[in-house]
Amino acid sequence: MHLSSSFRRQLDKITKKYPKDKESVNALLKDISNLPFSKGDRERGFREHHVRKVRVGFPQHKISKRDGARLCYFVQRDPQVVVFVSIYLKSEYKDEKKEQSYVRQKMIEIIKESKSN
Amino acid sequence: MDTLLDEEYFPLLEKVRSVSSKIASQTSVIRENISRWRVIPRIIAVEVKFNYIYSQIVQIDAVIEKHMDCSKESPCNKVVNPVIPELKDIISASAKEQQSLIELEKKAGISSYIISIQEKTLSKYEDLLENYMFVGDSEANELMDELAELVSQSDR
Repeated sequence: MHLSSSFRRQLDKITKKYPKDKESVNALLKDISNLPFSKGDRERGFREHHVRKVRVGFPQHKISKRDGARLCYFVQRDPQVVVFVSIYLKSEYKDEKKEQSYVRQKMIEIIKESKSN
Repeated sequence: MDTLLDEEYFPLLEKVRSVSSKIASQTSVIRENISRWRVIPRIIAVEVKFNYIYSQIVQIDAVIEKHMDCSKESPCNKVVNPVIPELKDIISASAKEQQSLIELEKKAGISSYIISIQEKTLSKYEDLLENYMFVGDSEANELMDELAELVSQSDR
């Protein structure tokens, strides 16, 4: 499982806030890497690109999936590659435009990182 | 094209359009009469409609998901793709309408039990709307094209 440094920073911020659920979040990332089509919902706006969004709860901190985080990732089918794009707390992005803007920004960071590698 | 797309998709969409416009006119009656106790049956009737169109939207949404991987030039995609922005607008408008109605009802002292039923329906709309967030977002689409290209290049 390869995580970009942009995604890792986002992940660290969240797991620092909800440390008791760090293991379950890491287990979820592993599950997604192995079976990316089995989790979450497919975003409708990306045409043929397979982009999925998973709701992440923090049960040890009594945060439901709905009120927890959103994890966005892109899947290439053949050969199967998963790119984790962003993970953020829904409570910080209640406004749809801010949420879109945040995910777009993370896409830009990942693209820049991919190009520099 | 499959049978569902051919025979049921457009009738479903037509029902959603029609019930959605009825909701708009009925909620305005509720707003005007919010302080009268007789408004309750109207609220319930509108709530039934919100639930009904949600069930129809979910069926249309399932068709959309099924055809997302079809090529851009395929006949089914030419049918399905143009409807996606309209469906997003209907989901978004329904959620906003319901949200503002709930806020008004709370101020007017409508039974919390009735409001809790409406809030459950509203959360279903909001959840579905999350899947449509990037519909019409051309910038995000261009970025995703670029990301997909980079991923496929790195595999070669």
